[in-house]
Amino acid sequence: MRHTISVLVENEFGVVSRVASLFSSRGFNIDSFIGAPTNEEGLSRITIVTRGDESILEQITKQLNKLIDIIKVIDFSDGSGIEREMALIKVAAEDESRAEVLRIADIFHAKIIDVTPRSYTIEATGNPAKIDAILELLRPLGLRELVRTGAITIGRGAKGWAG
Amino acid sequence: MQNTHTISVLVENEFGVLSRVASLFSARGFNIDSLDVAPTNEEGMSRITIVTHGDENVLEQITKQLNKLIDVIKVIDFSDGSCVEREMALIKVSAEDRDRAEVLRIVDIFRAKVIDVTPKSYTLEVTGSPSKIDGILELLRPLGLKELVRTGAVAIGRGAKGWKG
Repeated sequence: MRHTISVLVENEFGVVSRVASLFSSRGFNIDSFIGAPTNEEGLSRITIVTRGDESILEQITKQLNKLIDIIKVIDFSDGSGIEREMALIKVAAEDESRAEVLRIADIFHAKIIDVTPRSYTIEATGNPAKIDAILELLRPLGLRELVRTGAITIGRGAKGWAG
Repeated sequence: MQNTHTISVLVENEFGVLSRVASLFSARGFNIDSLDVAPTNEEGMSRITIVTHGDENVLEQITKQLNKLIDVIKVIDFSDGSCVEREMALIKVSAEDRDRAEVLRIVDIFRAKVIDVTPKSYTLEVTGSPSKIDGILELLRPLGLKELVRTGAVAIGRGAKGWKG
């Protein structure tokens, strides 16, 4: 099963590698992992997308809660969050395929962020399935490079994580 | 010299590669501003984007050591600015009474999207260079930021060539 977990941590050296190694030491593969600053000074937010056994994940969550740098663990596996991802996609675009790339970008409300006579670089955002869909359409045209951020998640409703 | 550096590391999807890469930085007292790991177009390969700041010579050492790790395929240093850098943020902001219109005006100017609405708040999705994200946050902060989730920056090289050249 796919799980999305947000972890609020203090900006201490080494907290990223400690959190990552909690997963890898249990053989939990990480699909994507993001650590970035939040609005609160000295606080970062780690978003992890992972796959694996529910009971092992529960153990990991408990151990995360015990780490001294960790302020809060939020499990979005129930689908209660809004999930978004960004991808930068460099795709070959020559002759006829130039117009086709632009049509696809238009349909997905993506932006062109770099142009050469032989390629477009596209910025696409949406839930991870939408990113997968645009990639599937662009792949036959020739993907030169792909950089995804991995998913980030925010809770629905008016309340912040602090409640 | 304390400069901001953006580094991309292409790695094989092996268990533990992320913590090995991250600990190379932390062991040298290099703080990581943001870190992104996600799959690439090539099966079995992930891309790590790290934004960090610190001494140039120490960073060069780290880059050399990264290149020695067996799971690391390529290290790209974008510190010279030869790339397009983008970040995404999800922002939950208070929006009551008159503030509702003001939030929507800011959304419009920054070409952001509203992705969740309640009678007391808007949740926004915004993309751009990290400084553009900082710009919208500065305008929204006085209205009351309830929650902020950033991806950290990702970078892609300019021009027609992919990372393989």
